[in-house]
Amino acid sequence: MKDILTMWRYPKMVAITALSAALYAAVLIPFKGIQVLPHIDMRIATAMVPAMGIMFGPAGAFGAAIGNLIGDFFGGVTLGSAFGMISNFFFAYVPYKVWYATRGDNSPRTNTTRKLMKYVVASLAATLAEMSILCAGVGGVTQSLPYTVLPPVLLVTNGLVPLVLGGALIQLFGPRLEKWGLLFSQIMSPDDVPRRRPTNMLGVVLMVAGSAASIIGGLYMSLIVHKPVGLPILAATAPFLLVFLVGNMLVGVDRKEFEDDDEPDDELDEKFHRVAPPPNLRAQRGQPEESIRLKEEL
Amino acid sequence: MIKYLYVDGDSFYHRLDPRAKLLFTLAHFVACVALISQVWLVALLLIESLVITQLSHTARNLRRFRPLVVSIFVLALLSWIFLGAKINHLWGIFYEENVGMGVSAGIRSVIAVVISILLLSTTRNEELGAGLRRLGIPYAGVFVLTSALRMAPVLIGSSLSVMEAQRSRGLDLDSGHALSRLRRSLPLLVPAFLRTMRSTGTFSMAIEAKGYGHNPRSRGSYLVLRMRATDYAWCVAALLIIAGSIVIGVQGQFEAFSTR
Repeated sequence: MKDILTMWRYPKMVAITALSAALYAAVLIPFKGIQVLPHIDMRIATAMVPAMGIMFGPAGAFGAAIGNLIGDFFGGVTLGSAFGMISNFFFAYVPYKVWYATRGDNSPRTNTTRKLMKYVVASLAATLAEMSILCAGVGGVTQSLPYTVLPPVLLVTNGLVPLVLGGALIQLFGPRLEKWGLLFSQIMSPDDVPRRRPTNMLGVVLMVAGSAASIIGGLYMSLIVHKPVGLPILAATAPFLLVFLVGNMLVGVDRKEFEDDDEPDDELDEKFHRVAPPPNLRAQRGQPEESIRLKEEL
Repeated sequence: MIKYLYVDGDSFYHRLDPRAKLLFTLAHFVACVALISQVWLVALLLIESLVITQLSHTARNLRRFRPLVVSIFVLALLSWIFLGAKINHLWGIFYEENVGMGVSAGIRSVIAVVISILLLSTTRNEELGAGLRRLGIPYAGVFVLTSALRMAPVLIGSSLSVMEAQRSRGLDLDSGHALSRLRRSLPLLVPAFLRTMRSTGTFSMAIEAKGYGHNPRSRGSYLVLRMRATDYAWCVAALLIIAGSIVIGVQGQFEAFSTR
C-alpha cells in the first residue's frame, strides 16, 4: 500500500484529491436531510466512489474520505465520522485494487460484458469493505446504534447506488479522463505503485472474505449472543478486518498499465467531434501542429 | 440549503485559539464514547454545549439544524427500542436497557452535532487549517481539506444551476419510482464531474507555482497562532473532561460487569 504515501509527491494527484473531495461533498450535502438512521443518510454521491477509485487510484480514495468528512460537517461531526472516513477510503481503494488485480485490458471502461461483471464484483467488494469497517466502528466503538440494524441499512443506502449507476459513470468519464491524462496510471510512476504479485488473486479473496466474515461475526454477536454493541462486537469483527487489511497489501498493479499509449483513437476523435485533418494536408495548408491548435481551442 | 457554516462574530469562543477549540471538541467526542450508561452526566454535557453555543451567538446556526437534530434523537431512540437486546421488560415493546441506551445514544449524538456546529460556526477554514497544521497534521492533508472545504459550496451552487438547466430541457426528477429517478440523475452528475476534473491541470500548476512539494517546514503563513491564558484554561478543561469521562466510564463498565 505504498501508493498511499507516494501519491502525495504528485501535484496533479493532490489536485485530483482536493477536487474529487469537493465534488463528493457537494453531491452529499444536499441529501444530508434525508436521514435513515442517525448520521446515516441516502447517498446518491456513492455512485461516484468506486469509479473515483478505479480512475484515480489512491487519490480517489483520499478524495472520498475527505469528501465524506466535509459532508459530515454539514450533518454533525461525531467520532463515527472517523470511521466514516476510513470506510469511504476503502470504498474507493478496494475497487481500484480489485479492478487492476487481473491481467488483460484494465482500461476504465465498461463497454464489454467481462468489464461490466468486473465492475459489479469490484463494487460489491467495495460495499462489503465499507460496511464492515463502518459497522465495527459505529457498533463497537461509538456504540450509538445496535450492530443488528447497520448492515442491511448500509447495503441499501450505500451499496445499491454504485451498483446501478457506477458502471455507466465509468463508461462516461473514463475515456475522456484518459484523453485528458488524469488517470492515476498516466500521472504516477510505476515505481511508486505496488508491483503486481503472484498473490494478487489471494489478496482479493482475503479482502472479500475478511470483510464478509467481519459482518457475519458482528451479526452473530448481536443476534445470537445478544451483545449488539461494545467490546464483544469489536472482538467479533476486528480479527477479520485485519485479514481484510492483509489482503489489501497483497495486491499490486501490472507495469503494463503505465505504458504510454500514443496510438490515435479514431472512435474517440469522432465521438468528441474532434475532426483532425491528416498531418500531410495540414502541412500543405500551412496550419500549425495539432497540439498547438488544440491549446488555442482550449 | 446550508452552504456556509461560519458565522462572523467576536464572541469569546470566536477568539479562542483553534487548537483549544479542537481539543474541547475532541473532549466531548471522547465523553460521548466513554459515558454510555451515565445518562445524567451526558445530559449535563448537552446543557453545557447549548449554553456555550448561546454565549457564542451561533445559536441561529443550530436552529437551522433543528430538524436534523430532532430526527437524529428520535431515530436513535427508535432504533434501540425496536432492535436492541430485550433485557428487563417494562411494558409492551419497551425494555429498560433499550430505552436507556436509546436515550443515551440520542443525547450523545445530539451533543456531537451541537459541539461540531459550534466549532465550525466560530472557526474559519484558514484558522482550522492553521490549527491542524500546528497540531502536526501533514501540510498536504490540511491543504486538501481546506481546499475542498472552500470549493464544496461553489460546486453545490454550480450543481444547482446544472439541475435547473437540465430541468428546463425537460429532465423530470420528481416523477417515477426511486430507481428511475436515480437513473435520471446521471445528467446532473456528468457535467458537474467533468467540469470539475477539467480544472485539475490549472489547479496543479497553481499549487506547484506556490511551492507545493518543497520543504513544508519552511512554509510561512499569514495567520500566526499564539496560545493565551484563556486558551490554556480551555485546554485544561478539555483534558479534565477527557480524564473524568474515561475514569467514570471505565468505573461504570466495571460495576455493570461485576453485577451481571
